Amino acid sequence: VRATTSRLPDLKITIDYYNHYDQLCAQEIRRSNQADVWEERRVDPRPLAEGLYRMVQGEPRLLAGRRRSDGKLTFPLPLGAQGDAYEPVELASEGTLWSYTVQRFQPKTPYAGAQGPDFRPYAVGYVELPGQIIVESHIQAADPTRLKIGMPVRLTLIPFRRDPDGAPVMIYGFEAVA
Amino acid sequence: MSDVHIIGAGIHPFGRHDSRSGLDQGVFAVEQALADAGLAWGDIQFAFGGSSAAGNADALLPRLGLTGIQFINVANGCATGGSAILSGYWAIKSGEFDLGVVVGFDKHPRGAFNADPADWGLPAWYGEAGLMLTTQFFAMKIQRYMGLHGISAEALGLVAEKAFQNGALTPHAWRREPVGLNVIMSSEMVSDPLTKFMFCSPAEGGAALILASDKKMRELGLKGPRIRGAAVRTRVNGSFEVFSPSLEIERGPSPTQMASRAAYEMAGLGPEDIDVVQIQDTESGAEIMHMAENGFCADGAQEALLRDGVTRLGGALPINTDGGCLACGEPVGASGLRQVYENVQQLRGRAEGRQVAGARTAYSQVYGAPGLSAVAILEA
Repeated sequence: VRATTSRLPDLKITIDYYNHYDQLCAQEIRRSNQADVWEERRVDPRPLAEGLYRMVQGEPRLLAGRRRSDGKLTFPLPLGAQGDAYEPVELASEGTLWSYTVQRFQPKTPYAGAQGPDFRPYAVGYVELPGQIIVESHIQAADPTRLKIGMPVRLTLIPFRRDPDGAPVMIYGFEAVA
Repeated sequence: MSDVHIIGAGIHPFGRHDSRSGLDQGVFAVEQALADAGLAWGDIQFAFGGSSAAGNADALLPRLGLTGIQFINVANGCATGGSAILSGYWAIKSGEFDLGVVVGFDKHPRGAFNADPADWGLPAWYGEAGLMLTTQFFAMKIQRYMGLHGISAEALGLVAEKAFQNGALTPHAWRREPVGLNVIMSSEMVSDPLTKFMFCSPAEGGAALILASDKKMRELGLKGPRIRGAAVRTRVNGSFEVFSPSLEIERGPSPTQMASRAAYEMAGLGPEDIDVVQIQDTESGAEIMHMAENGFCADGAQEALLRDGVTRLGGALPINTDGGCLACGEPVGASGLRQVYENVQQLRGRAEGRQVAGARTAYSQVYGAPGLSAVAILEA
């Protein structure tokens, strides 16, 4: 584990918002193969929080809750004491950008993403999933100034940070449909 | 039921005051309001007070005098000041009390507010993900509004330009230098489409009002604006509010629209009857959207009103005559009371250098997280 920790500085790719999860994994495996401690670092990616999304045939699906009393959808899926009142529902993975902005300064705590010199501005927005709900999300965009309200977007996973055991921690996000 | 009047008003200048605690600034405001009315703390029957980051408001009591009066601490986010006024208004209107103080003060650390998700009933990941920022909410609300209603980025700049012009004329304002439109437009982008000069900053300050029943006011031989309407409303399904991980597709009214409607109804007045306006301008876009949400114009009409100078001092509908939050900063506990303080000065003809000639009616609206609005309508 110590060896893992010492290698963390050259694994800053986890905080690069412009890399796809797949690219990350490919890079990760290349790096791992060169390392003598690769077994220790080959830890599966995990979500930022339990119950945020599930993987279905290799694709992420956001989880919302449908309130049993009136059928209203809410995201995220309520957990814990209020969870019984909701039935989990997978949300559509394509929608349209409802609004957006760019977070250009590093937020104070509890923000747990890249800090200090590693911080990069990131786009956030609301995405309308037709017939379901509007969800707040990170938006993955090479040039956020080119985002447009109404543009089609698709769900993806974005590396957010790395846990102490080396596992990449993933957050859901939306990106423009190519 | 009694009419309620504001017979005294005090303010500690907003801004940064390194040598003074928030509490010091609250004491200052109360003492100034008492002096304004020619009263002593011992005359006061009740108080409602609010502070978000500068301790308990009732810590004022040992400083002002332990007279044993009913003192209730009010906490309602950025609408704390508006909520304190409403509480004082009801206390007198009900006939239970004749004379009271509403006070708010605050002192925030520098930089944007940071909220703890658990305090808002939200999961921890929402804060960790960097999604829980009021600045993002305001930026996304105006971004969509601009798209739907054809408001330009320069309109945002015009709001800020006006704020700093008014602030330069206001003794209690923090930013007292005009800032050129070019500087505003080309300053650092904070959260697109809003630049640094388009956002207000958390700040420090205190404000206090003395409220009296009609009967008490006459007994004391005093005069003061009457509160004709006051209302607080919270969010409903379909309104777009700060700290919302999800929204319903079907849109609904905002708490500002609902509080505004209720206050107009109570006052028996409409937006066309108002002479001077203070509305929540957390950032330039908020002032633009709140112009419509409070009934002062149709959605999209703001662009022309701003370009024609209608909302400037000297225009037909002066808005945020003391520079608003943009020029005064936002000490959460005091901000809504500052708006009413400014309206009281305007209605008493004491707003030297920024006086709206012949102002008879004044409107204030303060908005706060997680989605509530407080409106007060005064008549000279």
